[in-house]
Amino acid sequence: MVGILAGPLPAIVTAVVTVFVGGLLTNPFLPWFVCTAVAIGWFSGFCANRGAFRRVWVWGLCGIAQGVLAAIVSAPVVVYLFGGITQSGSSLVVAYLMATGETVLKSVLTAGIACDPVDKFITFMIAWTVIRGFPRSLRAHFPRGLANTERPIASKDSPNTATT
Amino acid sequence: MNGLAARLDPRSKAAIWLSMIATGLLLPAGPRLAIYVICLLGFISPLAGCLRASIAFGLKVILPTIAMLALVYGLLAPPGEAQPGFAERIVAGVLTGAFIGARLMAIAVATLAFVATTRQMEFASCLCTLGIPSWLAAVFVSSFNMHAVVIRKTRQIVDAQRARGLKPKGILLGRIRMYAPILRPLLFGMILSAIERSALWQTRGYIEVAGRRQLRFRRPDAWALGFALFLPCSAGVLRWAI
Repeated sequence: MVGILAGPLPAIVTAVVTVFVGGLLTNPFLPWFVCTAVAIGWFSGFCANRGAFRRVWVWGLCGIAQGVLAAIVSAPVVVYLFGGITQSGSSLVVAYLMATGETVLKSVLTAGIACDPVDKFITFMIAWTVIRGFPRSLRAHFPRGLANTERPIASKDSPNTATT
Repeated sequence: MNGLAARLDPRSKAAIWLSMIATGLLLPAGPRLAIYVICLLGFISPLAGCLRASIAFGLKVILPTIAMLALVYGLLAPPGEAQPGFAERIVAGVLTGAFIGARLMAIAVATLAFVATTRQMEFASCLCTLGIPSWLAAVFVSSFNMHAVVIRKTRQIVDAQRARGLKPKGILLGRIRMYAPILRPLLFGMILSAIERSALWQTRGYIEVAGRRQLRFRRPDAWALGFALFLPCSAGVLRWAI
């Protein structure tokens, strides 16, 4: 959400603070996924800067791409730090693949690429729905708030679209 | 230990925290790792005052891991001609789950001990001495303070929306849409609150938030750093030399 409203750098800062505060207060395993959080924050801001959130199908594709990116970035941490099993539901998929003889890294990557895109797509949907419901005055307070939540309108003088 | 922890520099405590985690990762899966986790639970967590939280977290982590791996290993036979029996697969799943759970516990207990022996302002001061900008240290401290506020406001909004007829049922898309009436007022209020707090911190120049910089290394810190180096080195010796 911070990436949509403010861009990649504030999203990265928010991600780092979130994993460390969450790790110290709720889940001790969160700080080890700081690289994943940074990647997610950066990618959200990158997509927002490119105007991906103006059309539904574009941010849907971006959500799926972000899930693949998150799975790839988090795989080494899950394999070498946690041995392949964390507290998430995808650990059941990892355990199944490990029991069938696959290596830990391949199991974690396969489970991550299968599960994370759906998760990130739903996350993008929730963030976009919530921000669209904010008052226009609040969205205008942020650098990308209006640009990413309102569709460009066509100018009557030119066939090219113009951003509101 | 809380008295000792109060005299230690937070950077020394962070070094011990990281060394305990590194030790848990270096020890091979087996009896040595189990003994290490028992020592953490039996000695470190009571001294740090986080025994109850460690046990609760351990039950939440280890038991589901053991049950999940025992179930999966028991139901699935590994590929190959000589396949072990059902009881052997269950035992293999239980042992694998126990050792993976022990590794997770080593990470969790070390983190809980660090959190239990470090105050917020110490943490912020430590960040400032490490070169992190004071405004970022202020963000950390503010986030710690806002955690309880966010939980309380979330409960209030959920109760209010349920009183207005919001019921979590239906298909997946309908359930996702039900997050909006809860998240919008919560995030709207939090953003407004954050804007006000940022103005307050700016007028104070973040000085009060960062805390007084009285951090300096003393003899107990030197002993703590020596202990922090000794733990992972001895774990490495146990793993590769013995």
